[in-house]
Amino acid sequence: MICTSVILHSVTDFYYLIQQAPCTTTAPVIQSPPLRLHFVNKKILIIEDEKTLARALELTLTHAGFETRLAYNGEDGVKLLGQEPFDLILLDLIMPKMDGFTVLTILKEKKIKTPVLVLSNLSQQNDIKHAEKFGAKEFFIKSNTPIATIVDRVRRLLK
Amino acid sequence: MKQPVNISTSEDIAYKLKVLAQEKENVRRKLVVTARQLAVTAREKESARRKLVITASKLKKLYETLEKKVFDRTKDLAQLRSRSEAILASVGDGLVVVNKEGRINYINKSFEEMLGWKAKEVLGKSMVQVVPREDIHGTKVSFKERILTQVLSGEKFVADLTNPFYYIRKDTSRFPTSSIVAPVTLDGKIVGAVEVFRDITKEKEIDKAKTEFVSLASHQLRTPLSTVNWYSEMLLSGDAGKVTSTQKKYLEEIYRGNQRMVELVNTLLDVSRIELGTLVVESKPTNIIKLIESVIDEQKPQILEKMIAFTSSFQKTIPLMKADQKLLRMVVQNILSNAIKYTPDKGKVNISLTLDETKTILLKISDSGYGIPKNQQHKIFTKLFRADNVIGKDTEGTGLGLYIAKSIVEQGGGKIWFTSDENKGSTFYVTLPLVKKKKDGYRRSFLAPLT
Repeated sequence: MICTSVILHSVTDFYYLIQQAPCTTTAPVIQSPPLRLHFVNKKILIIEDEKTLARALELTLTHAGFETRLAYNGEDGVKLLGQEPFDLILLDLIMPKMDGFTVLTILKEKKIKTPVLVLSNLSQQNDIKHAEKFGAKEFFIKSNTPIATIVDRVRRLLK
Repeated sequence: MKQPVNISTSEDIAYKLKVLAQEKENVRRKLVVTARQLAVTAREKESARRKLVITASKLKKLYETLEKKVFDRTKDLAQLRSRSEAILASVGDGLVVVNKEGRINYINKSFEEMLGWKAKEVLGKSMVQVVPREDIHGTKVSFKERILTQVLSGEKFVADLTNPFYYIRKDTSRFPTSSIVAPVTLDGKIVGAVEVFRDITKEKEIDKAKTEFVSLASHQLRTPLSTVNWYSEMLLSGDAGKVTSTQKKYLEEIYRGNQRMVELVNTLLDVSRIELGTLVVESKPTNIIKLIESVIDEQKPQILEKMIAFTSSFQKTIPLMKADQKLLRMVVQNILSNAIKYTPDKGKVNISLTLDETKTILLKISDSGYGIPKNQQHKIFTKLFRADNVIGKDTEGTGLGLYIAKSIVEQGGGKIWFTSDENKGSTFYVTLPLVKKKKDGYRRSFLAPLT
């Protein structure tokens, strides 16, 4: 079930945004009139098998005013991509069923041009190269990247 | 006519007879004396003969004893020799003895087995020529750089090669070894040298397995580390509700602690990549001055916090060079952060960069810090080593920074060394050659002249 609510984002950001997210979200929701509507209808697909990390991204991005969908493996991610359009994909690499490299290959084959940010804990140069060659726009090493940096990058890309 | 016989008187006759008797007596006496003398001579002769017999038997005995002694001694010596030989032969390590010119005097069985050469093929030949040595990158070690040469020339006393290298067998295959070379001296002069070497293939394999494990474990650690990072960050940002100042303080501790763990994991991964040789080297035209300046910028907060008098000087004529920026950065970061970390508040740190006529860049980083105790200076580039005098002062060091710096610099064909006085400071030097060595030069170098 989808409901509409307005949330107050972090004090540092001062973003008041309209959020369209499942009502089950546990984040604090403060009702107040919307100030900016930059990211209305910008939809992000998070493909990440590590549920706590996927949830952190989901929470933070919805707070920042994005609409998100979650897939816990590459196969489910590709399925969702076939069902609805997305503005951005956050993609993990090592996942069960289908890994991120395969997802990138499929996107290329299907000529889906949605920008992809890879979030992985692989940090070998050749993994990074490989992902970029397959069309990843950027590569973030999760443990080395604050979540705020990711949100920031997403914001700038979808402005 | 017959002469008339002068007929003497009876007194005459009696007189003459008396004279004759006297003469006879004289002769008899002389005969007796002679006989006595003869008897004495015979006795003497007999005694001499007896003495001779005794001497001869003594001599015989002596001779026999001597012969027995020689025999015993020879037997002992032979035993000793075969024992030594058996010991040398059964030493699992390869052993070679060379003379002053470096020519092979002796090799043991393990030498033969390990290198595929037979003693008769190599005796009298130059060890350095018979058994070529390569470093880990497959570069042949020159005659002058061979430890054996250096020990024979008195340049080095006992060389314990902890850095593994490769020996090339007769069939040109190679194996990793570690060796100890010691000179043989006689009256204070070097008359030869002994080298003992070991095949460390197994150790290398174990080491590789360990490194792979560290690499795998580090990757696995990154997921929970990301979780702690992101969630503490989210709590701190107030996304999940207002945070009190005490809570904020605690959360910041959690975040900082976790950051340290992230950095440790990153460092461990760097080490394992260096050791496994999986570092991808990407050389790009690089302005080394700019690179160093950005490292300084990154460390500004610490410099300011400790009120360190920081100075720098860069020779303007340093050209752009081809270098892997990530690796070069790691070298500068590690040495500079050490200089800052191990210098007390209000101390001095200087960084300088010069280029000499052989197209070698010299990076010099000096500090007025705690210094490295003399007795620990030889261990300073060893993995995980931390000097006693700083362990108490800084709990964040891992003992990996200088190990990483050295590994990288050496892969680039450069050198790294230092001078240090306890409580006065240390100066670290790094050379980065911009001229590539001949065709068998460093294959994996991250440095190259810009062409």
